[in-house]
Amino acid sequence: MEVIWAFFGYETPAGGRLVQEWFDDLLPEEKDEALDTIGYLQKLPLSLWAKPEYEPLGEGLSELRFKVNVLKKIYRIYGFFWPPPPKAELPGQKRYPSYTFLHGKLKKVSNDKDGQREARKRMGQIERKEARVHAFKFS
Amino acid sequence: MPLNSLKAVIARLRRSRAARKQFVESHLAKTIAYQIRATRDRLGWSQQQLAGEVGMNQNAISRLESPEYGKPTLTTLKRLASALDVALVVRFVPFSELVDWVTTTPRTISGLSTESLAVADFDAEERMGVFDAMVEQSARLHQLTTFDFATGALYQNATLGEAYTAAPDFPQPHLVVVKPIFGSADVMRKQAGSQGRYQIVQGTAVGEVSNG
Repeated sequence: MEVIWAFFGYETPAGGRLVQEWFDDLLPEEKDEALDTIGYLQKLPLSLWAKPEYEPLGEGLSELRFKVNVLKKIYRIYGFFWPPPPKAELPGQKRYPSYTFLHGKLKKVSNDKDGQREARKRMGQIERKEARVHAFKFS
Repeated sequence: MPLNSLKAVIARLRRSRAARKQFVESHLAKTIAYQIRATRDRLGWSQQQLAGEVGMNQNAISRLESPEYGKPTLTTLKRLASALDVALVVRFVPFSELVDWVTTTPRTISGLSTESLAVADFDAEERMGVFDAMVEQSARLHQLTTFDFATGALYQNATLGEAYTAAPDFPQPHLVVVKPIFGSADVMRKQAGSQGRYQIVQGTAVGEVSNG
């Protein structure tokens, strides 16, 4: 069965699209690698998302990673599975699994407590409907 | 809908030879790693089982399934193909073919031919206008009408992103369908709802989406 993930981004209550802005400011080489990695994940069922490009971090939070070989840098995008799927399928419609990006940053430490804290804060805001998500634009 | 638009991928290739080299290396590493992972999964095999079939240890399979660490030799690929009982094709192709693969664009391959043996390089394809033709064809596709399934709004010549932002009051991102221009939103809603004769290009059905 064809799998196509839909990707969304965190939006502050004031309308700031923080992950989108971070992504838009990446260098072309960085964007290329992010697109390549996420482009393949988009077509894979969750059961095949695995390290090193995907890692669950507990309590619903996870991270996607991409490595830019030419720059010798690794980037991480924290996110979670959101919005949830609809309760029932409508006639002729397919359910699309969704992933929402919460926070993107350069990987500097292996255990990024600050980054995870920020991502969890944003995740809570979305779940409580204090913040929204928007369709993520990759190009 | 692929994340990479055809236009963006071609712009990337036109950037430099280094960008093209990176493009090839990135997709080669990822395609092989993810194909091994997904094909093994389709067979219901664990990494350990595949390792047994190939005659390797489980750690080696784990590395081969990682686009960052896997550096398979042709011999290893042939052993994997045999273990998975699939064909293996290793050949040079023009960039246009890889672009179609990455952007999920259907393509008719000429097969074994003089042309496919003497592969056109990037500059040759550029001179022949191959990429301009691909961009033009892609642009024509985008001139379809975008129909917002949730709100019933029609967006002529809109891209998917524009359709999302054009409905800012809708509480969540929602389904968007694309059809060639014909009739009104009501007609499209009815056809989409009752017959399902539409192409979903991207999106997720969230919450209460009206089916008209």
